[in-house]
Amino acid sequence: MGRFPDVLVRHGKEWLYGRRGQERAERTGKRGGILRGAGKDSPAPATARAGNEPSRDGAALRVEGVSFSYPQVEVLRGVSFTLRPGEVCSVLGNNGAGKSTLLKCLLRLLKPREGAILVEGEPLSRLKPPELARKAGYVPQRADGYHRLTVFDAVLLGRKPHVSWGVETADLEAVEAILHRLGLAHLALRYTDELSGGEMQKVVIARALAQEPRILLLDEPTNNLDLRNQTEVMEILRAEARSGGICVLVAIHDLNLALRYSDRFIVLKDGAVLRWGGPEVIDPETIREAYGVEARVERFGDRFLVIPEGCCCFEQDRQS
Amino acid sequence: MGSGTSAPIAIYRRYARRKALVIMLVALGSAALAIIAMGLGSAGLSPLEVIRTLLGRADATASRIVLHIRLPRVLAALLAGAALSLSGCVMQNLLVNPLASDYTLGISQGAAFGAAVAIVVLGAGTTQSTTLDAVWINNPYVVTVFAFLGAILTTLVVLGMARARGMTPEAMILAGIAMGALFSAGTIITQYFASDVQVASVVFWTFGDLGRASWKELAIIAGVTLPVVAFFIARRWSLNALAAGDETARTLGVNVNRLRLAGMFLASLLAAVCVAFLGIIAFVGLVAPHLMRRVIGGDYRYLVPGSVAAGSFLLLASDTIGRTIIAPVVLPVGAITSFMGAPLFIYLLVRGYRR
Repeated sequence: MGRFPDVLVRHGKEWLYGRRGQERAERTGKRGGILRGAGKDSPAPATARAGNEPSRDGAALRVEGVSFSYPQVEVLRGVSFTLRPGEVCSVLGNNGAGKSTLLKCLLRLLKPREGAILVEGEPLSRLKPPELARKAGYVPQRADGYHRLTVFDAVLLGRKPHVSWGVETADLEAVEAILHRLGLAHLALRYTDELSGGEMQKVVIARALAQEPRILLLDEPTNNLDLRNQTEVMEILRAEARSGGICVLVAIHDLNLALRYSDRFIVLKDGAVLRWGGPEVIDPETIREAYGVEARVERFGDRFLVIPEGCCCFEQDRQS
Repeated sequence: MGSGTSAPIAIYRRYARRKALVIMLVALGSAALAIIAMGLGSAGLSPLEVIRTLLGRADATASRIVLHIRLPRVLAALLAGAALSLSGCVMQNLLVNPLASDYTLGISQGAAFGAAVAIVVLGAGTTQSTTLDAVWINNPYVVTVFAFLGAILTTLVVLGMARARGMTPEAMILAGIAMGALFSAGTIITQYFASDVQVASVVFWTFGDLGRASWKELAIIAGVTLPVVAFFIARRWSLNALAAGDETARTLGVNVNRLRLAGMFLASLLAAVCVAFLGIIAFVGLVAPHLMRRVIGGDYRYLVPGSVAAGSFLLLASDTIGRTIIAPVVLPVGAITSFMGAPLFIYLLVRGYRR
């Protein structure tokens, strides 16, 4: 089912040895959830320091100590992680934990106060807008607009960063291939405002894929979809990640869906990374801390299932 | 439905060709209508005679009528129709507001006020000319600049409101109507202070008329309109991206703020230059793009040229109706377009404008 625990551990270490992680741990003291989380998988000493700069090869996306704040509120605090090509990563956390903000920072829709974001080794901040559009694709939470655009045209829009003046046959072929892959070919000339929610979501994903991005970011893509469409969307994402070597980052609420289709997990709490790693980070303790919910995590064949038991509001109150 | 999954490209190409064909037909229709319109009037000419006159192979009388009276009028209709329609088309996109147009946002009224100030207060013209016309423009450049200033002032207010949170499309239009009323009052007052005011001079800006455009003014309208058309054709992909939402557009590499500002600036300029010389021609900027959207969809690669063609056709048709329906009385074209546009506007308000 596409899990690479060994890779994950190595990733954890690689990241842990990073200078940024160290600084962050010192700055935020015991709130350094990332360290705690990753440290569980690999008891790497947080003291390891100089000369252990993480190697840049192989990482599709490297996020180092990204912080973001609005004038009044701090939304992200020193978020760091790395992802490899072809990985699907779920961004978890309750409402307001900073999931959307993190995605928007990765798309440069918001400018981080500090920290570095590298896509395939290139700093995000130095890319020109069209270059960025060829690196990062985005599926926003609400797909509005597209008034009276056919499905084909809506997906063709994703070719914009690649088109200089006129559309070429290659662009049409790319769109056609994506429509076939996502099972949208029969809708090619339908207007997008006549589609069902599931179809529309796939069209928006198809548009983002037409950009041929290296990283694909989706903000709660399975919200308001039925079971079939949820499954389909996640399967599409995983298939595209694997076949295209795309690094897929999904903000998602459904833990079981996340567990089933993701390789990596970033659990955010109050804008900081609570835990980060493979499926093993989704344990009752993490769920309690991130969501304030008591849950069991059961192994079921080769899969993990999260079974929520109930709120643990009192305990959370006591802690704070 | 049921078109099969075989070859989306082939189907799509056919669909794209069909859209191009529709635009071409509308453009050809405008050309044909222009020939016919030049023949209509007290001295009737057949289309063939018109063509012969245009080619310079007719007698002096026909030539005088066609080249000096009817051709400028027809060209004014074609140019102003294109300009106003394109202006409305891009405003609807840039403001994400299907009700937006130069007239409904009060931008035309702002331009009319600017023009009135230039003519009456600064003496760039006079409102009591000895000719048949109520308004006589001596210095079209100053008038254009002031019309543009008036339009830009309104546009800035509109943009400010669009930026304010929670401004619904309807609320923006209501504010536009309020500003329109304000500027109309300003225009009327300006004229009261001018001199022996003719009622017609007030009407001039409230109901536009294509009859007073001379070659000099046509040249200015064309000089503004054609480059702006080219600009928006070059930005057709960005307009499409913007239709998918600001954030999506930005992730597609569009500088949304710059496009919105530059686009609104140019769209206002289009409206301003038309209003300065022809008066307020209501609703063309609303009706023509919406008709085109219905027929060829919302793809700006086609909608920009389509709106240009549809606006030309619509305004020329309106003016031709206004000239002939109770001839020899000539109704101002703005009145005719209002008769067409107001019902559509109400329809859009009441239901279904989201689509």
